[in-house]
Amino acid sequence: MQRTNILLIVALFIGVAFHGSSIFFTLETTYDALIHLFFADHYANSWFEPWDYRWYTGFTVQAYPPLVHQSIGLLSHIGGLKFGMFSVALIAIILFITGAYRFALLLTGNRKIAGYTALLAVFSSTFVETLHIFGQLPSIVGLSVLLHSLPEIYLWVKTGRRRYLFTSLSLIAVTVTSHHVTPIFGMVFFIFPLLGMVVMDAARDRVKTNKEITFPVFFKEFKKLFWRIVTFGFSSLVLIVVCILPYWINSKKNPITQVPIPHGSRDNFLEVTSSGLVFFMIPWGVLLFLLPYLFYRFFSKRYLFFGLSFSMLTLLGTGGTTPIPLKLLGETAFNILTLDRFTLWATIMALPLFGEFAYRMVEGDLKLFIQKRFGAVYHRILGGLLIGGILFMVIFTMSLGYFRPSQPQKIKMQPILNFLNQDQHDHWRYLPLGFGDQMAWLSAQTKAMTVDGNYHSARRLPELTTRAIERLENSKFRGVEGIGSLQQFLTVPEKYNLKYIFSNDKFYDPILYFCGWQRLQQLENGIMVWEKLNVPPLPTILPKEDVSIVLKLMWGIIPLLTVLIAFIINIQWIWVRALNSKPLPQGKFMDYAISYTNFSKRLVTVNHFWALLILIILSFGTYQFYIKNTTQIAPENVVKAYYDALDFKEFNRAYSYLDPKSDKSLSQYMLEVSVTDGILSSYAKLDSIALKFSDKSNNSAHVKVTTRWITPLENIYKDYFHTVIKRNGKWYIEPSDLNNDLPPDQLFTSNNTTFFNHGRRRITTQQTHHEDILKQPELKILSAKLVQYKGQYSLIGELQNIDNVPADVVIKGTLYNDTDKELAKYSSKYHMKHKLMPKETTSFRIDFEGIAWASTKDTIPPTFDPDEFTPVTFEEQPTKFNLQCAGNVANTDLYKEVSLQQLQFEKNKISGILFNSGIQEVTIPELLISYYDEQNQLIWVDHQFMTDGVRIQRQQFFKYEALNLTDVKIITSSLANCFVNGLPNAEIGLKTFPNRNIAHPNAYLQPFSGDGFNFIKFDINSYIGNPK
Amino acid sequence: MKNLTICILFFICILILECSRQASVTENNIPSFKLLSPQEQYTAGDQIVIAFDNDIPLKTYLVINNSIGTSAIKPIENKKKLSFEIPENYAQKSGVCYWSLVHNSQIHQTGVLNLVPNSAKETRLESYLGPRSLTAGNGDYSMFVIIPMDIFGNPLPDNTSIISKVQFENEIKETTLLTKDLISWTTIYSPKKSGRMLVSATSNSTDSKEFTTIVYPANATNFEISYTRNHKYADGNQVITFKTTQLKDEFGNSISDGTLVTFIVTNSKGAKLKAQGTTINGIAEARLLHPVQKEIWEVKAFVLGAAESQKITLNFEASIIDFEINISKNGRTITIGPLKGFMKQLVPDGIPIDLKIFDTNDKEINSFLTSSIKGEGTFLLSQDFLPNGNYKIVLETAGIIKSRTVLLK
Repeated sequence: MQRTNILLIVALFIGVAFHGSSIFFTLETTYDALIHLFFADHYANSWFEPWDYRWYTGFTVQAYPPLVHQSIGLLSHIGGLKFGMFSVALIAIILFITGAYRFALLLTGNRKIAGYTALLAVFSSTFVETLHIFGQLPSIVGLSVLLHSLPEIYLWVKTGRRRYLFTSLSLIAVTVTSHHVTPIFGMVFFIFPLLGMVVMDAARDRVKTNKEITFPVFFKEFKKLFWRIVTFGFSSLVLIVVCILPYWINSKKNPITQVPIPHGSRDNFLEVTSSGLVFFMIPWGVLLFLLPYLFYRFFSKRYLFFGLSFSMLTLLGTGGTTPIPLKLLGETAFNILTLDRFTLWATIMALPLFGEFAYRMVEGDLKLFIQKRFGAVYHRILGGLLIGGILFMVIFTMSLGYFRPSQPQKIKMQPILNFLNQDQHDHWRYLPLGFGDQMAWLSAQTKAMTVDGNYHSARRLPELTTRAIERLENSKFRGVEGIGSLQQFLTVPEKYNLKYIFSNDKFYDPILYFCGWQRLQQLENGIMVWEKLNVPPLPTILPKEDVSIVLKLMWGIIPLLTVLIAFIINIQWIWVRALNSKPLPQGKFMDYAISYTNFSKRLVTVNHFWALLILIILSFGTYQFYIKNTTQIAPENVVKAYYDALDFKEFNRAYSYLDPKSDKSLSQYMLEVSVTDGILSSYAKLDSIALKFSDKSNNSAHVKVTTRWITPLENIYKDYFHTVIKRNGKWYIEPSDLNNDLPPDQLFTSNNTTFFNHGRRRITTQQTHHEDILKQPELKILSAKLVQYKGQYSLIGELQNIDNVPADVVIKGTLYNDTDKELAKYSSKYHMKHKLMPKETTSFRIDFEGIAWASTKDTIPPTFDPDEFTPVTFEEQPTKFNLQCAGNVANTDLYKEVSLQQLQFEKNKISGILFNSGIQEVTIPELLISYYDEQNQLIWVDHQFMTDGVRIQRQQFFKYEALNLTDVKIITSSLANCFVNGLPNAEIGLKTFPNRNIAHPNAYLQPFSGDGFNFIKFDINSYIGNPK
Repeated sequence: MKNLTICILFFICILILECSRQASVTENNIPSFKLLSPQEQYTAGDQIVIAFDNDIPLKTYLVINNSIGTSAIKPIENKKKLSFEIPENYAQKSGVCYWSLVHNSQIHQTGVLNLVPNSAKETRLESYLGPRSLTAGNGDYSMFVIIPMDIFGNPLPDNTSIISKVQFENEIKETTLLTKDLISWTTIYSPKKSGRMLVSATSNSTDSKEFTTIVYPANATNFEISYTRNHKYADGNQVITFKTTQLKDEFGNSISDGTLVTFIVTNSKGAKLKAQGTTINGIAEARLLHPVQKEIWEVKAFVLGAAESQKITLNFEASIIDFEINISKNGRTITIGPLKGFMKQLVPDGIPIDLKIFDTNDKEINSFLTSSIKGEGTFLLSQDFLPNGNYKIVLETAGIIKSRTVLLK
């Protein structure tokens, strides 16, 4: 009696000390913890109001059970949000360890085993992972409370004493309010088998030996206990519905209709080994070696139902490795649920039997058996290996976040918060990029709103729900789809009042520039602030979906009330008993403890073989890993390895694949790397690679490398040619020649006009006075057309800044049908120069992407691919358009010193060089190509991003393949509905730009006849990555 | 307990009595109100009290209505007299103020107060100038709007005189304006010279703040261009600079800094090359690299839609006239060069050299590109890819094409 208590106390002591101290280093970098913190902040500020404006242009917190969030929120009033979070985490740790203890006691009826289980629970890798890597606090609390409720449910069904019904229901209520999935699946996977076990125990009472429990006996007992089971089942169902009624109502109202977001737990673990590690290997840990024992014990008569449940959980937890989980769950459930949950429950369910195994191994029959059969030394070695394995898994799991951080470096939020609070910056929405889950922590600390959010089930904008992306913030990890979604927000930020972007990842810089954003300042924490001009501030009154006061009150009161009631019913009873010095009644399940003798010999053998098998598989996996990473045994390997090294910017490694006999030294190679800039070398992620060998001999080969790169702008396909050579049994790549073009001048000067706009000259918090506001630059639309090309409608045209100051230009087009019904509205993306010097012109093109269309339902292609536009089928054809241009004074990104020369024409192909004559290095040059017909009329606008930058006083080659424009159809060409700064275009510039020479543009046109066009014109738009 | 019940009953009785008494009064007597304050003309800011000779403060209100809005005010407690004081914000607003005496939801009497602006005290000026930038000449103008007001913000009566002052360079123009329909305004036309105009106004010895409008130069007029280059040879390395004369508008102002000037260069093959420059003090510069081969360039510059330059023609002479090809004994090392420039100097690094290899049937089987280093370019033809045999090689650099037949061994 005394000993077991000590084991539990030791487990609690170690558990709190170990987890309690390490959470301070892990919890904040987990995936989920900061999200819960944001929700907690919401409750701390407005307990009863479920609507939060800060994410997703407004969402309801009734989309997640509130107990944990409310507890953190409540505690935050004592010591801040983080204090609240850590306190709740500590409570969760205690609840989990004690929960595991009680669950084990229930299953085995042996306090010693329960003690062992508690101790093992502390070090169970699945718990370590859930807490320290995933940060799923509500899930842990929910599960722990569920474990606590199991003995009470058992006792209610077994004894029929009403007290137990209340205690069990009170605990179920707490579970429900802390996590919604846990009680529902807990019912199926924990409570059903428990009920089965109760009936089994009851049947056991009727007969003398286990063998006599037959189905009729079992069924008879089941009939006897039926009403208790039904009472409990029905009451808990009511609780599940009532306790979080607002949640269910909200789910019904806003069903999760979104495109499923890929989750690693649905992968094939054999293919995606990283998912296999995180969602299978780590949670199972040492238990993998003991599977035969677990199954053997679970399929003994008493645990039979648990055995079934355990098998099912194990199976479902394998995700996409086998097709079975998909078939069992169905398409919808499979794509919504994260399947790692099942593995979590399976491993938690296995804990008591693991405890039993440990008990038998340390001081039970297994110890005796092994010592007798294999000797005492072997027993010790085996024990040592097991303990070593457990410790290894714990340390491995804990360090995972350290070696492979799931989050970017911790960002100091204060400068961002200060920025948002200054000068009414929080009157617009903002968007963090590259913040990871820390964006939740940022949102929690400010009142400013973002279009993004971190709880994807609550997303509401169709731009987000129709894409399989969790957040815009990390859209680069979602490939073209993520980037496509982000581009939509960047192109029409006015729609969301999105004015500021905090960029923690320079990957996104090019798309920001080409969508017309400009750098504002770098904050002292290194975050770059980008802003967009011409975005209106948020209206004072924002839309919200209100719910009835009853639901608000329920949401605010019930969760904590359940805790209070559960506390009073469960704990107080124990205290009263203790104070009255009455011994606590022993649970009825204690009667079914078995004595452990005669460990099955066959099982020992089977388990030995199993463990050996697992070891072999592990070794094989390690060997495969090694072979895959042996990079130079074949030409394919070395080329792939070389590109992998380039992709990850590991230039030392890349150099090691170069032919050692070539005269390129490492320092020379590194120097060459350091002077290459451009979208491919600075902003691209290698997506796929294909090799085609020619002239392959034993010692050498030519290889054409076809690569696909994901960049923030678009997919880039590029072919490279290499020669590979075998030397001393290893394959190497011949280094490519560097362009050794030498600029003429060592030192040269450049004069430029630069601009500065004070913004607010008077230091005041009042509305900016009209004297601080600059006149909007005058723009003139020179031509505008609605055209159809390849089934896609576009607006094209030309526009000139006719003012005397540089202009930032925003062009918004709207399409109408014959009956003046608005069909689509969109802004121009990168088919234009957004910044124009005085008298500069730009061609523009507006493509109408998915969200532009009035009804988004049919228009969105199932997967976004910037290179593949799915033509939209209309019943209503656009025939008219309206063009709204707005100019604002620009003072950045006005670099115009790239010249075009050495043009050569072949059939359909144009090559030439860009020469950078200024003093800024152009990172990404964009060519805007305008096509004209024989009447010098614009018919199409195309673009090409060049893959390499242009360095100062140097040239860069380009090749452009002209389009076939025979099927371009001009639907309307009109300047009638064109407006500039809200004024009709026709009236613009009558006084300031009289006597326009309309022959001038013709002098710019390059005669070049192709399919469907007669002239072309090149414009250059330069993105400078690091302005000096 | 009994006492309590009695008490409650007693109170209820009193309440009923009280209510019935009130009701009977209103139903039976229609009270009469006589106005004691007949004055209708006031100056904004005066204390205005409207009094009546009846004393029924209960359910009696004075409803007032002027351009601010409508309010119901309660009477001031007074013996035998019902008096209402018009609140400050209503009393300070000039214009018509209507009042009506309401008793028991019925209007008993109405009246009008006329408040005139308080011009005796200090005058304030509300003024606005826009747009804040103009184009020189051409009849572009800003509008200057001034509203003289009294201390309470009431516009002063029509024909209040205001002096508007416009400073441009050394000249200050004063104009006297009279308000009409509460405001006065004037248009300020842009002068022919660019610069900065300061505008202000005075009325009743009160001065407005200073307003600025910038006069930008008008559109550019035609201009001339010239070029500077280090030498006349097409070495593909030196930079040629094109420069405009000072661009001026029709009034002689140097055009705005930053105006984009585009230089369109048409080469001998008809390709249109392009270089851009922005003006500083009216002068723009743009740069291009020398071509790599003999060229004739025709250059013309534009400020699109506004101005253009004359056309200039310039010639580039070939820098590299010839080159030598050295082929090693086994044919597998091909060296080009030394490439020599116009002074027989080794050309600067980076001249592109193109090699194409054809088999005996004139079918292209491979091509290589290198660039010169120290005047030379070398190609190594590996045995792995080109088996021994006869080949034709074609080399091109600086527009010169040469071919040879080689035997690879």
